[in-house]
Amino acid sequence: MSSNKIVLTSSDGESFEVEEVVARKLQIVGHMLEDDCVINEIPLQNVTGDILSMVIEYCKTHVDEEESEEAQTKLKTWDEEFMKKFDIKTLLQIILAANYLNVKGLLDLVSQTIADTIKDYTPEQIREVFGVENDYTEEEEAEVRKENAWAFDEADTPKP
Amino acid sequence: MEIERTTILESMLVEIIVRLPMKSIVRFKSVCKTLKSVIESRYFRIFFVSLNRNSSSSRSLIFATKNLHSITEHRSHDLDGRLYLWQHDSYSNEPGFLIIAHNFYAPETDDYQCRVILLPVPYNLNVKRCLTTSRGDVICIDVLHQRLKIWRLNINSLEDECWQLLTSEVNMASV
Repeated sequence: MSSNKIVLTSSDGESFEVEEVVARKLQIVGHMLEDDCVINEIPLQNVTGDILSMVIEYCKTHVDEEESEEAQTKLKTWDEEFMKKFDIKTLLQIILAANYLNVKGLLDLVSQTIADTIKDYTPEQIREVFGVENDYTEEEEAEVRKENAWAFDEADTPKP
Repeated sequence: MEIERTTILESMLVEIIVRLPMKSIVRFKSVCKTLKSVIESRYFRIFFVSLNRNSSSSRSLIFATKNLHSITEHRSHDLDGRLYLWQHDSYSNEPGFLIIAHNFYAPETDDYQCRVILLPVPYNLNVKRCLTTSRGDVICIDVLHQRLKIWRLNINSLEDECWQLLTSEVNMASV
């Protein structure tokens, strides 16, 4: 059964032929296969080919997760190297894909990578990266900042 | 369509934000109102605690109390987001100072949110003291009659032995 091939098609029409065990790492595919086991081509509406290929690369590497410490360390190193390839914009696309395709391990990995990248950002930088609009009035924002002044580095905090 | 986009963004943001250090989380409350309410939500707190169960930072300031109501007037020192110091002088036979801590990220059970802890050295006009935090620990520094003591709060111990003396006394006169 594991030698079955499944074709995954991205929103922009790119096709990837992968082994069923790899495709099952995408839980969205796993659920589809449980519902109807004769599917061999699956269209994935919300993910483009370039992002899907990265998700598949991750799933191929993680297809048999061995328990041994050595294997775990090796995977961890691979994860780190894999994440280094992407800028934050791409990471955000991967996290959306991981969420949609339901690949838990990748979702955790990308979330942690982004968190490590943004941990020293200012609120302004966060708004920019995530495209979030500042809906505070000037007074409200000053108030929230004051309440949480300890979390700002001294340089950003107005002296009392 | 607009609604869907926002929802995805929000759940994605939660996955990321919850993995940040507490200092960054608190700082990002000033990004926008939505993020503030997400961070202050019960769901987020439970998520945060479940991810950080093994680290000391998430429980650095978790205490419980039964007699909160007896404290009315207080002055607060915002040391690590959630740490307050009271002068409790209405009961003259009690040690004057109490420390009470509240952790926003504590597991949500009524008993463990806050706890009143007596400071290691009872109130005395001659005591100078300050509280601070270091690597998730609460540190109390006392100076009495030129003698300096440093205590670390051990939150897992019984109430009467929760302060651990870190160094032997330092005689300030000899420094």
